[in-house]
Amino acid sequence: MLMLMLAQTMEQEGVRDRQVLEMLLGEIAAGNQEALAQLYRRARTAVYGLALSYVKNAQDAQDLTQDTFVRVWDAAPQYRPQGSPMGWVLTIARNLSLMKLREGQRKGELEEEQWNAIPAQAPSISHEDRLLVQNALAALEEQERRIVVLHAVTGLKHREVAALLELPLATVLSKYHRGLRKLKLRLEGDGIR
Amino acid sequence: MTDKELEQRLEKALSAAAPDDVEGVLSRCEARKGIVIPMKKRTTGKMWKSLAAACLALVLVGGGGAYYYQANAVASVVSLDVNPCIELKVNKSEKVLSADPMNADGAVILEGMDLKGTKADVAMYAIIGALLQKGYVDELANSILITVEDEDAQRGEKLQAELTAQADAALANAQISGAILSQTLQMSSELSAKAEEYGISAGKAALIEAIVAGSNGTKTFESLVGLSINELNLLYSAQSFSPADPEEIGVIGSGDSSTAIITEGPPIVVTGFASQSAYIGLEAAKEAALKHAGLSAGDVTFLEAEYDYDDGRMVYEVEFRFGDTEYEYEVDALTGEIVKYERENDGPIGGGGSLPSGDYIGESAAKAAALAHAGVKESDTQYCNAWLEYDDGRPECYEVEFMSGSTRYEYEIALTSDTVLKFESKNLGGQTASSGNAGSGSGTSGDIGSQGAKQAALTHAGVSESQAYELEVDRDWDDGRLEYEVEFKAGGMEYEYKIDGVTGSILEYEWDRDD
Repeated sequence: MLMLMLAQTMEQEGVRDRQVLEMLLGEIAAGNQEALAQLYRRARTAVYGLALSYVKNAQDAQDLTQDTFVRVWDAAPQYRPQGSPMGWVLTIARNLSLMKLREGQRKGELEEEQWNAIPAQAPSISHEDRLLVQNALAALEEQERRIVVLHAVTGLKHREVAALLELPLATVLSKYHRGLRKLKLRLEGDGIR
Repeated sequence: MTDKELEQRLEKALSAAAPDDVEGVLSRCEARKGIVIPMKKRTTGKMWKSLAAACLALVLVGGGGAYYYQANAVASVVSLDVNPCIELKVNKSEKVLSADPMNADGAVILEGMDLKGTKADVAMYAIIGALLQKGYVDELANSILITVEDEDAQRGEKLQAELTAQADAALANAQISGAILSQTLQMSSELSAKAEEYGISAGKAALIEAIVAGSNGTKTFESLVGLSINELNLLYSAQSFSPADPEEIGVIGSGDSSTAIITEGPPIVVTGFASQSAYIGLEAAKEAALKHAGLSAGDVTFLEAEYDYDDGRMVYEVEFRFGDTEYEYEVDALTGEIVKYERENDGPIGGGGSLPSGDYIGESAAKAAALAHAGVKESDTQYCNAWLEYDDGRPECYEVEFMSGSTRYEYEIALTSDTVLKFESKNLGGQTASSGNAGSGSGTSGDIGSQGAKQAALTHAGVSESQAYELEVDRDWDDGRLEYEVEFKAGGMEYEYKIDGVTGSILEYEWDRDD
């Protein structure tokens, strides 16, 4: 019962966020650049996190983040409110990431990319954050990492994460819990709490 | 640290790592605005509208009252599925009597379009135009299903061919390499009942039935009903086009080609190729499987590589042979992750032949060792198979598999002694009984707790808690059932258990040497 009430409160917060995003997309469709700037500020971490979980290196993920918002600008007139504006933005990011990966494969870059999440120039990242993003996330399997990152930074519910990644909900839930557990173990091993 | 705190830290850290270059984005948006994309869209939009208007005008001039009754009798029903689903009722002279959306997306497409009285093929051209313009058909999902339902099969097929040609032309005009599935059906009450039950068109229902019929019982209607036409097309094409010649596999992979695959005879004609842009591609899937197997393309003979849908996801099935060993892989079509793999050696059965059998104990001894370890008599098994397992072309161990009651056993026995290297047993019975409580998310009333799970595993292994080390208990939901995964090591062995979280019964366990 308590769980249910908690879920409802969170649902309401989510509804407000969603309305703001829907409104921003409407403005972007009408050609308002300030709305795009606002959307960027709200969604850049989520888009970056998702792109990074596919391409695994900071440079490509940064490029994909920019490409995604440019694509959002172009495609916004075709957006129709359907309940998950963040899901729509992330679907674009996902598709661009997958295309990027395929492009790499066509060029014969078949080597498994190393997890390299810290941009070359990023003076503002603290040592602790570096450990978390670089070392701790590296301990996760690719899908676990993607699911944990999506849940942590996008505000999407597990159900929505499942829909975005086209995975069964049960898989998302179990990978999420396993991923978080691994993260905690790794963090405790590194002596940061 | 709670989960929530950990997530917040992760968000903060990623936010510091994420680019913050709004200027970079805006500068590129400015550059694009008005140059290519919006212009192109506006022109196409106008074109479709004026086309629809022109058709309407044409009909108003041509339409007379003399053949009123005949003209208003429905001869064929055409449905068009992408995700938007639209139904056209067409009379004997192929004029549209009505155009109705079958779902919400269909309504979006038909909005502002008056197709009544237009020729069916012209209506098709306009609808495909709207689908393209509104972004329902693109490089990621390019499949369209056209279904003609007509009592008169010949008339239906003629209409089917005309409509397919128009749809093709509309796609070509927009420079999209689309894939069109088309079929003519006799109206069947059974099919329409099924379509109604699932809220889909009869055409989509027929396509799903065709896939189910061709799946050798591996797929059900229910499991496929949620897939898009593009995904269904991939599955259908994979089934009806299983090349015997490995060379031809490359043809499916080269998605850009405009050559048509025409499947053997009716009912469903496929032209073009379903888009695989959302997926990693067949070549990448083959690479992933080869890499996992530690082989290179030159070493192996490919037997099969195709799309499939398994456990709720799109996968590539890749099969190849290396020496006497056949490899079967399932590769996640989105991520390239290996989902399942199997290796089967079909070398000389019976242990003789060219094998350096001198020091080997032989399959019957391996069988005996496994059965003795399990405490099962061969006469009590439903089946009992043993074979030499190869790794990289060299014999590695004996594998023994048998089933007794509802328990399946898998053993690995050493080559030259009756040592059990590894074994696994799985109780296949009773699973249905406990899977009934799916979805009862937080219900903890029947939870044995991690302590209970740990105890069940240790007791089963005959290990005391003080002997066990690196002990880990993980609470997990699997297929809606609460489970505990217990792992520990003791006495040079590694133990893994899966315990039912409600009953405490052992669902799966595996012992392995800790090396």
